[in-house]
Amino acid sequence: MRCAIVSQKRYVLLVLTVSAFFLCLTGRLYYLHVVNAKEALDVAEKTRQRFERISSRRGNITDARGNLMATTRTVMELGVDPEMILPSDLGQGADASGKPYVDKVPILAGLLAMNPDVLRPLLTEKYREDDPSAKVRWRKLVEKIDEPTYEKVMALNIKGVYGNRKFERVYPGDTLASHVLGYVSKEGIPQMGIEHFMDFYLRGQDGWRLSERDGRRRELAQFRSREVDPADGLNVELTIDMALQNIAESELRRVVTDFEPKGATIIITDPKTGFVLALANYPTFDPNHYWDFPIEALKNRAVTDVFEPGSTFKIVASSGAINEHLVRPTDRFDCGITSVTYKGRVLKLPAEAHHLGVLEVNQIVSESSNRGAAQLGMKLGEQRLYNYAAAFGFGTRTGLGSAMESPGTLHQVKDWDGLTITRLPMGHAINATALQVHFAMSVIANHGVLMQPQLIKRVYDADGKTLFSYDPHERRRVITEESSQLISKMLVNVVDPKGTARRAALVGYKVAGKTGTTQKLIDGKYSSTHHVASFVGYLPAEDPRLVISVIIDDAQSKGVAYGGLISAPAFHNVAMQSVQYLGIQPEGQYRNMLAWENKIQ
Amino acid sequence: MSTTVKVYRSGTPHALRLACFAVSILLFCVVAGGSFGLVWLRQGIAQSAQSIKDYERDLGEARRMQAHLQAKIAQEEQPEVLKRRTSATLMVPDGRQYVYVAPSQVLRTRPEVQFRPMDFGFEIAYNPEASAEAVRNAVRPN
Repeated sequence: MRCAIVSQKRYVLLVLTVSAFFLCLTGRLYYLHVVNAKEALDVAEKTRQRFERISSRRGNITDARGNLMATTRTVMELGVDPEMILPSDLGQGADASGKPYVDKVPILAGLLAMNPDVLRPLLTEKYREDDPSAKVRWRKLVEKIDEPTYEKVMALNIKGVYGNRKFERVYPGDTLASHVLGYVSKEGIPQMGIEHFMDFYLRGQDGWRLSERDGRRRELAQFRSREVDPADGLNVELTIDMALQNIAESELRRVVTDFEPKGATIIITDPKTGFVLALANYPTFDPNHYWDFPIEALKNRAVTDVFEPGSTFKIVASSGAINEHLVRPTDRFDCGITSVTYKGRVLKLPAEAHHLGVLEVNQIVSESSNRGAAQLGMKLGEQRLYNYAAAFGFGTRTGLGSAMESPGTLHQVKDWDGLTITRLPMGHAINATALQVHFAMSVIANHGVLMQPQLIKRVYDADGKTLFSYDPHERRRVITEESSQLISKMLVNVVDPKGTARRAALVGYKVAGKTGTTQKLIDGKYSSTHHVASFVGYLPAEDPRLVISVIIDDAQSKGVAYGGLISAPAFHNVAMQSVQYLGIQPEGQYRNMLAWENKIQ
Repeated sequence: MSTTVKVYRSGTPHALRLACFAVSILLFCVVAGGSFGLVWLRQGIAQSAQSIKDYERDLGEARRMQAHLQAKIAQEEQPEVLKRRTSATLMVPDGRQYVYVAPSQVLRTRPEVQFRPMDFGFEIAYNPEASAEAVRNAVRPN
């Protein structure tokens, strides 16, 4: 028998080496399991644990009839991991049967509307351009594609191409009611309008999930330990009627084409409830692509921009004087005089567009006499005039919900100069928003009561259950019902064939309203070429269903851009379509009129 | 008289050895069965969790498609889109349809159309069946 002879030294050395190795190993294990146990466990936990945030879906915004005005859908941000692209995906090589692989790049390029020559390097270039040593594991191909396109991309089965799902806010009407709705920025932050004001209800609450993942970073669903479901945002129903909004915006487009104004606003409300049925501005914007529009176009000028209301404000002085029983509609005033003594001082009266002579109070309103209005203001006195202006809503925010809403300017009596008492009654020395002027007229239409303007009808959940309802809210009674009826009769005369707003008249309907033409203040002086033309009216005058305002800033027209010339026809067009849409019956002889053709049996 | 005890070489009684063997087998079976059972249970849990996850994914997919479809429908139902579509398919009103027309317009553009006051309201247009008789009685075309 042969025996292996191992020297003693070698044997000891081998034993020592092996022992030392195991000692090191034991030491390392001891270090990992005892000394460094906590940190090691943390690292293991972090590597294994998977915390997933589950985004909630933002609620919808609908109009008063349930039509979607803003909704949320998912889109995919598509990218590629060039490391995972296989040669077969690029059409290189052949399969086992010798059939060459199909080049998928042109097909993918077709789906993404990209040039294949641009797409190919994006798929194959594995290193960063700015740092050639750094590998690219994610390169964005397209900012967003919709779900059906993504499904087609996935059907190509290119392993390295995949998408990350994200929510996108969509406004199906594009520019429709954009200033009312506002928009949500790319970062998901609501910026203005209902999106901003009702964000608390719309945004919902994200959920989360704690689970574990495998070596390929895939979730191990069986190890889900804690889970909180997301709560989707609530839905908001507006008072806006999409069809009326469209009528207002279509008319606005016509006005813009015809007169190229700097800005314009059309508002339609229900005087009995204060519900805003349509609110349209020019310039406008598309909230789906808000970044393509100048900042100027994003603002809701119906509540942010102020102007001198001009003659539309005359309803305040005349209402106040009638309501205080200081004058009767048939009382006469000499509107031909140029100055008047007031509290011992001789005050110069404002100029008239043409000589008017002696007028009754109702003629002062229908013929829009500046001097007549000034004398009515003086009858009222400073404090009462101020009080009525404030009661009609001037000088305070309407509370529509816009963060940028302007309160306008109504100076305290102590800040008035000597001429303010003659200028304020004709709508000078005061600034107001279009919505304030509109709701001042609504007071007359609503029998003397100022309503709270409202854009939101209710908040409801996914099952349609109403959670919050916003009922009409009376702010205050401004004048008595009798006074409002008297003023209403005067305002009907404005739309008569002899009135300043005859172009606003509508066959079969009694329309009441008031025109306004204000010279714009440019470089501290009233311009004779730049005007704000307005008409605010309502119909049917006996039982008003709609209040409509048309305010056009700096219309380009031959001569003075009078409210009766520029705004009244727009009112007519909007009113005509609105009564047809709402089925508001005409009055008098037109109510029971029926037409038919001879052939009808 | 002496008693003979049969012993194995190890000195353990046969019955005891048999019992130990049986217990060992039993233990082995319990441990092995339990282990396999545990693995089977875990596999079952994993499969259930995976199928729940798949259902959730499918549900999410369906919801996403629904949202996508809703947005698409809303886009198609916009007034401007509807106006574009209906303008090409508007039809001439038929005999059962009642319309308001301004007198001036009737005389100017449609001389064949006549009009006269009626003794009932416009509501009849919304309920043609109930009011057909009333229309026949009240209106006699020339």
